[in-house]
Amino acid sequence: MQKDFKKGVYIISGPNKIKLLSGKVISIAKNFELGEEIFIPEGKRIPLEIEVDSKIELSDEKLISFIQTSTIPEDWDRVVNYLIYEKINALIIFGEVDTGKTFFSTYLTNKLISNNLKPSVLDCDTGQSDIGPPSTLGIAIFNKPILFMTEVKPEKLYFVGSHSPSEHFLHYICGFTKLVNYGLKNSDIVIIDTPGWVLGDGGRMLRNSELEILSALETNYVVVLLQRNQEIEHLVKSIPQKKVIRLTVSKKASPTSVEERKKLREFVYKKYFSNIDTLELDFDKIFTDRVYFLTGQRLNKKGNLLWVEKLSGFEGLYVVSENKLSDREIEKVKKLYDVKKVKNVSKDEFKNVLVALLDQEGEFICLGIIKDIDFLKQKIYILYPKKYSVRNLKIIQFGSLKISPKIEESGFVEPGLL
Amino acid sequence: MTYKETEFPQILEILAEYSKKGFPLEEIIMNLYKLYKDVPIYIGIVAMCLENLVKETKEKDIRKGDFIFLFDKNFIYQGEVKKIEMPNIYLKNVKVIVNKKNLKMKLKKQKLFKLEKNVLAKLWPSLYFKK
Repeated sequence: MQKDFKKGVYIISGPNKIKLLSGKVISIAKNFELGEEIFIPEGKRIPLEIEVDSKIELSDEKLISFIQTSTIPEDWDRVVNYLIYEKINALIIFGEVDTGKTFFSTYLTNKLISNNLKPSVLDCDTGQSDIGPPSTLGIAIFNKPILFMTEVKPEKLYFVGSHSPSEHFLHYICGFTKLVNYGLKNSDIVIIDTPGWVLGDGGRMLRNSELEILSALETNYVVVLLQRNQEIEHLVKSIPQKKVIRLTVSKKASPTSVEERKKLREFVYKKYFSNIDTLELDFDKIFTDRVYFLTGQRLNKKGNLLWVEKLSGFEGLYVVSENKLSDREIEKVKKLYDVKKVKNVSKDEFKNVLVALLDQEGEFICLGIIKDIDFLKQKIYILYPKKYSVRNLKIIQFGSLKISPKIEESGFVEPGLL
Repeated sequence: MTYKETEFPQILEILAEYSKKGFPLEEIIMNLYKLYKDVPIYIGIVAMCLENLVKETKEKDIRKGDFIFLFDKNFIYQGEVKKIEMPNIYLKNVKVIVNKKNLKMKLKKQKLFKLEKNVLAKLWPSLYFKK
């Protein structure tokens, strides 16, 4: 249907398809072209700033609301000039959840492009990833304005292994360093969109480590604080204040419930795994990463054990069995193999574990889900999105999430278990 | 570095609090273990659940199947509610802890254990610092 819009600001929610028929419309610093079609996915919202009375075609009229003033706070505009003038090559955004960090990243990206710069965005929000699937860090380089980070193809991804950096700090920091470095080499400025974990030991430590890495990489960085009051000032107390930019939270920012977040994640996973195939891999032809499995010296299996490996030193024996062994059975295995320690995993623990498939250089190819492991035939079966070429697959990197065959979150794997 | 890299220590603090309040810890620890197995990567959430695991309740709110702790003058009872016939409740899998200031016991070859004193000093003396 077509609708006439008077000058003003409107919020359009997804799912919705819009097309500008006449007039002048700007959204998140991107000018709409006449006839350009924009699809707003479910769970996303964009502000339309109608500069002059305009005619717009849209698929769902009910998902529009009018707001009084622009969603872009005045102080946001000043940032762009500062970045250019000071030759800033890395900008990191800190803010609690739902303070519009991704919205600000998008706005900044479009503004920098309009100033003939080539920005990259590093999306570190492993729970609500826009660049790449959940549980990954992703970086994209931008040449033209966008409305949603989800529109772009990631240049590089890094698998953190979980929706949260919690219990995955080191992997998160490794991925952060790797992708910031990539952004510095391949773009004019890296915009870093961080997760909303800013309080407590973990939040303080992660944000602090990110700043230390930016410093270690010798970037000319600034920190943008998106805060409603002064809730995250503690994160920047010890850094030079000229490196800190304090901005107002956009009026567009609104809370998303934990359930909604889970639904959004599953929606992305379902889309990612929408067209899948099963990969059959020989134990001998691949390597595993972040697990004990297939990292030891293989031993002949005895009794009803499915798989036995001798690990290094005090790590003892790694044993896979149909069901978890009882204390008595463990004692028997210790005697049988003359070891002091047995690490026992039941076969089913491997099922549905989310993994990353990597090439020989350790570069991310795509995500996969362990469908089954046949210990007799020594084969691993993995579901993966067909559109990715896995010809160079060499490493299976294990995460700590489980995704069911219906592509729904179905639990966790205890770190260190497999 | 003074920040904790994991929220596990918080769990110890909560367990110590339960113990100080006199709760027998066995059932609480088994529940904690299950919580950890359910969400092993969210220790903060495990700790939050642990803090909310035991709630003071009224007699009228007790239901069959509930696991209760009952503090009497000299006894602490724990068990699962099997039947309710007010003012009586019937428990199963019951454990009773008796609080006594002193007790005389006859030793006759029972299974006996003792807590090691200064275990840190014995096992890892370089980490033992006199307070």
